[in-house]
Amino acid sequence: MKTELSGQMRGVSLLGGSAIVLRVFSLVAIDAPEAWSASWLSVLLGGLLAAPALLPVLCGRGRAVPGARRMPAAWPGRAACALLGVMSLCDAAFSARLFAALVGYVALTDHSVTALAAPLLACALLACLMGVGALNASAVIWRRAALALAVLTALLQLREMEPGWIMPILGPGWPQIARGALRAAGLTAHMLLGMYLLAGDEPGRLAATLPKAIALCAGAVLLFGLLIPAMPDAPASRLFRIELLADSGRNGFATELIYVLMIFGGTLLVSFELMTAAAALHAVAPRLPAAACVAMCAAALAALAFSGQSGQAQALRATALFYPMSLAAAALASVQPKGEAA
Amino acid sequence: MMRRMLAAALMLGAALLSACSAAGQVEGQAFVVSLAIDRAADGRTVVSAQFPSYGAQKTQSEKGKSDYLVSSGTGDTFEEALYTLGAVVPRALNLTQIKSLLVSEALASSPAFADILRTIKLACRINGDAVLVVVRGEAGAFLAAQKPLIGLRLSDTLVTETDRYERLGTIPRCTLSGAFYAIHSFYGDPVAPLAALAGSGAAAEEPQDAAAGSLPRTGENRDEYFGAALFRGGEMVGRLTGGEMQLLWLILSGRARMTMELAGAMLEVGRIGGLQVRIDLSGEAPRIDVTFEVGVENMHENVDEEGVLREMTDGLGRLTSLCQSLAVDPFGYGRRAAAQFPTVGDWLEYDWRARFARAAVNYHLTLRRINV
Repeated sequence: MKTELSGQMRGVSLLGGSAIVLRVFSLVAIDAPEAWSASWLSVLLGGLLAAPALLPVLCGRGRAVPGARRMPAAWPGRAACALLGVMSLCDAAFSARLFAALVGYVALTDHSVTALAAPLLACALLACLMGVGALNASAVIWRRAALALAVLTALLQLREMEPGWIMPILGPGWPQIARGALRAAGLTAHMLLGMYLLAGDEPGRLAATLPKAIALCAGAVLLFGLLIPAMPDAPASRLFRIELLADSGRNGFATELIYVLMIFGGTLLVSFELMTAAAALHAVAPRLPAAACVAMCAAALAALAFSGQSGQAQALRATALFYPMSLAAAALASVQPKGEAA
Repeated sequence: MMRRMLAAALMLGAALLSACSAAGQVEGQAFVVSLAIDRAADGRTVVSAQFPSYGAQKTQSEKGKSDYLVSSGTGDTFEEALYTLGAVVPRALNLTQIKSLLVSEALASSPAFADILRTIKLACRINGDAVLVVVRGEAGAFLAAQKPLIGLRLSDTLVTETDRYERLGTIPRCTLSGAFYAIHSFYGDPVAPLAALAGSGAAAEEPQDAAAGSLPRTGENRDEYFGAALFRGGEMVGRLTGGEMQLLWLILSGRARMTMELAGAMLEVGRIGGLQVRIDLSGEAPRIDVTFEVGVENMHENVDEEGVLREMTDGLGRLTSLCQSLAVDPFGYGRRAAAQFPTVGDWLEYDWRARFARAAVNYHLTLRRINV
């Protein structure tokens, strides 16, 4: 039993870590490139800022109890889960739309977002129905394949990299770096809380996942910065940034690798967030069957992803709120109501 | 059991959902190999596209005709011309496989060029790896003269020939994306290959002093790539001859091994190792010291080493003065200088382009003989 639990924690840790790498990378490389070539500093700073969100959870009483059972134990836990569920659901919709745009970019004709996002959402729903174990196994494969492909991509692109393009080192300056860091911290913190909810609160796992994921993500963003210079007067629209991402693979083969990585990873990311949202809903309303929670969250996710309320502008506005919401959720999760045993 | 059935239904649904809207078929696309943009005498813009007519049956009288079609559209703006072109080509114009973008010198020298490049990059879903070429004369005529040489496919010919000329050092490497980045970032200026139809200019006395269209030559291939177009921001402001471009390559890359005429001898020359650049920004005008080693392969004992070095140093000095007089930095010194500033705002405030025009640039070359 202990081994099984430990394996699940490891799997969730890999899945959550991969989701953090991919989501934060897609945020600073595509949706919010405000810190330009200094985006890697935003990622590092975001990682530092995300750590305090975990402290109340990690240092709270009764931490040996798995998070999934502890967080909803009383009203503070339920409130934390409600916040986490809303964030996960919204971010799953933002991610689904973003990755649908990536797929649309390589399609030969223009497709509707519904046509592009629906298979992704169906896969996510399928993954949730299969359980966290199946998703964890995919994450293990993705992480290994991703690392191998990322190294190959970097080697193919070596001649195109310009170290001078990450200079001046602070890019547009500290205010923009800090703004990017807050967004990155919000995304990272809410995913860490999601991991805590899905697989328990083994402090070592959560504490070890954060630096690894942030280091990998900052490295990927830094490499991207070596391939694309800062362009202050170029548009920051999602489609143009996707075009730049494809451009960063000026070697055609490398472009394909980047897309394979992003699109496969996108399925994992959306699945992870849908699963987190369903687990949060189940914690808030324990009487609802788990399958019903998954179905309700999937329906809400589809409605949000297909509507115009999950585009780039909405995603940017919402992700700016994720950091304070994650801090609040973490604080609530660590509250021990009076009269309740540790 | 219920869960398995649901999973199976979802998998089937996911497969079907991917065909929710009409899928694009390769047969429905006209994959453009080369695109040319001209400014007509009346100020209107002409866009010409060259694409393969694969699979088309030819009649006996058409046997000698090219396998590539050329269509063009005219409009008051680039967008309008492209719209016209799209209306006359019986397939969707697809620029994802394009190999070269040809722009006439007249258009490249106008302020409109930067906007056109921006439109192409942002709206046309174009292959960023395509080569940007500035054509002396009509770009459309140059495009029409392109044909597969030593092989069957024009796309291969275009890629192979530009690679070959880059290796000779007589043209720069300039992709569409590279030019777009250079124009919209703040480190330096783009340099694009210069091309022309053979014989369109007066034949030069010395080949290395020629620009495209003025090489003394004959042959089947009428498209000539030689020299470079210098840009300041998004506007072409000057030209480099093939020989000047070779000197610029010594600064840009250590990869090229080029045949150059120095001290009266034809020599195989290339930079060895890295470029040491020291940039002192403490004064009103920057001081730039560039040090590198030049390798010369199989140099005959009679060749004057000092003369070779002097000629190269003088040539680099003249090239730098030319660029300074045009206030352009194709060398990439700006990219190195930017590292001395903490933020982009500080760097932009320094106004590199204006300062570079007044900079003292000194070249320190040493020569190494390389024998096989």
